[in-house]
Amino acid sequence: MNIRLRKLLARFLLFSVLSGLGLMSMNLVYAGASEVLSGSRAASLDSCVIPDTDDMRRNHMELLFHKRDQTMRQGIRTYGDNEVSLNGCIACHAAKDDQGQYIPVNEEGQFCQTCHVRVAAKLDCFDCHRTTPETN
Amino acid sequence: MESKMAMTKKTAYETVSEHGLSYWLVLAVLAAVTGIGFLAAYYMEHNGHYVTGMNNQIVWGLPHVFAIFLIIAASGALNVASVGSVFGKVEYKPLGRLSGLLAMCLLVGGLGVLVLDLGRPDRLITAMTYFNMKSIFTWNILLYTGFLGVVGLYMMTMFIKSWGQYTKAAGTAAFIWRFVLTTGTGSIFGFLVARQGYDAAILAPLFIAASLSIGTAIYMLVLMWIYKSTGRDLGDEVMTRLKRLNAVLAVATLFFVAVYHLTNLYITQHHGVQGFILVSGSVYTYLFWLGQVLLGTLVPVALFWSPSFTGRSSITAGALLIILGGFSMLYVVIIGGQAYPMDLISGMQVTSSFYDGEIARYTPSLPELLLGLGGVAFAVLATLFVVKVLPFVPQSLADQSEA
Amino acid sequence: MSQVKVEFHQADLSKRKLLKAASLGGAALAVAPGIKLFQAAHAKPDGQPVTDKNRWGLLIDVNRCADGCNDCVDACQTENGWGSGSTDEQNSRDDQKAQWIRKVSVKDPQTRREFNMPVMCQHCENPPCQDVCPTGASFQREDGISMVDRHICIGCRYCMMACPYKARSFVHEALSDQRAHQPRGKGCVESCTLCAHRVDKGKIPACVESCQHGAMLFGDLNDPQSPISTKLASIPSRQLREDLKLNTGVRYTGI
Ligand code: SF4
Ligand code: SF4
Repeated sequence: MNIRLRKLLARFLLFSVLSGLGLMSMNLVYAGASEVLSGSRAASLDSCVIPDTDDMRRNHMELLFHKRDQTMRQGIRTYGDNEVSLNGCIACHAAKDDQGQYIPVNEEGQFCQTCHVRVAAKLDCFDCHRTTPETN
Repeated sequence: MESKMAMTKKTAYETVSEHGLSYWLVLAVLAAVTGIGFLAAYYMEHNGHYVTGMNNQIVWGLPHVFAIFLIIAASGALNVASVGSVFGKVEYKPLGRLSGLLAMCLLVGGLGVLVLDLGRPDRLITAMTYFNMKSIFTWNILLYTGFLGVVGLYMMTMFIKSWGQYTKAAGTAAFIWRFVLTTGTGSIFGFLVARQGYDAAILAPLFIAASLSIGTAIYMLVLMWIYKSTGRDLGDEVMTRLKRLNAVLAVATLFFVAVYHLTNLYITQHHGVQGFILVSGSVYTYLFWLGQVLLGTLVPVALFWSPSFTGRSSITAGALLIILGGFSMLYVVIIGGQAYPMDLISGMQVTSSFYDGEIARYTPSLPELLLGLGGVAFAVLATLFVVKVLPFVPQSLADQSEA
Repeated sequence: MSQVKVEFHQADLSKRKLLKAASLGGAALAVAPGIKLFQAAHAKPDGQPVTDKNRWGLLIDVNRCADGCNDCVDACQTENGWGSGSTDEQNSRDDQKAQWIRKVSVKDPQTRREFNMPVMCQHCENPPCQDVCPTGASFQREDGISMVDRHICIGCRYCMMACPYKARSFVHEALSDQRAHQPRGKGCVESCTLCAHRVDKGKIPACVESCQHGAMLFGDLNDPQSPISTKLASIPSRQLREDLKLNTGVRYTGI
């Protein structure tokens, strides 16, 4: 009985340590990365729409989910230069190529793709969403 | 009766192993066809559905014919088990295990085809987590999953000795579940009020009758194949019973088909689509009269019933024809029902860039066919494989007089 | 200012950060340029959810809808990025390409009278598409606009089977040339949104705006004083397939 309990405890401890390490390494991955590309509007700004960049890195998907339901189901829309939405993210983070044309944010080496490849998270948004700012 | 009881009690089930190379060969071929089915699905998925014959007018195509065929066949294949444990016909009891197994495998095959044809199969989790309880489709998903559970339990009562007392209860549950399931599948179409080809309550009983008939036919084929390739004894009594049953079921299906078309002929609004299917000379007309009625019902009923056909090959031919008939029926209902244009304004002729007022065209494509065949192959493969691992098949089904 | 605040305030982030965020970009949002207020009293305040106080609808006068004119269809394509409004769907066959709105030519075989009408999603009050959708992706906004939530649409096409007007299209291939405000993509079903993105900003749908012949009227069916309601109250109009009792938001007159 005792032995079993101890074994259980040991296993639990091991599990916690390991998963803690895992989470920390995630943090390292996040913290070490700055994928803001020179030439994108974001490069000229001090911070993202949320000043805590780490927070944005870690939680942008929550924000986007929330925003998407607001926009789609409730019709709450933002617009203008500082649109706080997926379109806003793209407008600010898309880089341009030598010809001055926007490069899709989901292309290799671009803002969204780089990080998503690194953490192996599927980048689903751009199956449907436009990947460059609309110019007109 | 006494002797039958005795026979049932000592039915010995044994895993299938005493077969030659041909059994493995068949397994290999089936595995290959299944694999090709997956590849076809991946190809459709990767490119998008433009590589298929489906379009914005015929939105459900060949994969759906296959999927629904397999799903209703699953419900029908359970019939043999039900007759044994629910209606207490002891002579069917030894056939029960295989019947349940086949039912489960066919259902999984059908669901696989259905899921792999989705526009976004990667969102299967979404389909499992977001439910719209108003949708008959949602209910069907639950019914299918539940079916696997209920039949699984039912199988366990057959396998585990101490659970034997619950066989009848579990069998009854599975029996009821099966009817609800087929009704649900039929209702997928019955609920489409706007489409004149589908707006009929009779579709549900029609689907039930067809499912029993198709399921029994598939069961006979699988049973005969297993026994032939293993050299086990399969008596004529068993087969005669089964083929007679199948004949009755096929006639019942035809009866509901007749009711379906006749009632629709009373509804003036539906004359158009009925004429389209019954007399217009379209591919659906041929499939209906030749595939469904003549080859799919009348010929096999004659083969099953007439004393002049006794051999196993006539049963094989009959069962294959029943399957052909069932497939034709679903093709006519599913594709034909979509091909006929919907009324936009009654009594007016309409035309548009979106094919309003036109018979929609559909040419099935190879990947669709391969995906469908993959589903069928998977179902049979799984069945033939599982009987090798678990004792599903009685060692002998020889006639009692000989036994 | 208020615009950005409402954006994220329900998310798991502290509000203070957001207030700071708001100060970054708020000013530019105060005035949105180029907006036509068509019904000042009912235009939704920015940042507020739509409500069932409004029910948006269309009244289409088939007698004004001109033969050979395709302006509404063209406008929709440009606005929503399908058909000629996009470089996508090159692989799809004609019968596989999306059509959110189409011109239907109608002929009465008895009288030989001919007329035209645009047909799009009828924004049913009791939408069959929504009844059948297994995931709830087919949904209706509070203000009566029917839409597809592409995030949870699994592409089963059951809604297309159920819609009596063939209003819906399935996207048969991967796309890349979408409009920023109108996501579209492979494997999902789509249809007319009544230009919800414009309506939310107080504009009228692109098709209505484009019609040179005054054949389309957009407005609030719930407001008895709105032009569309007063018109509907004074002239005969019909729903397509009224036998199905769907109480469509799109009505036709002159049929
Ligand atoms: S017209 Fe069709 S797509 Fe639009 S709400 Fe009605 S059923 Fe749904
Ligand atoms: S295709 Fe999408 S919107 Fe239509 S019924 Fe299926 S899940 Fe719902």
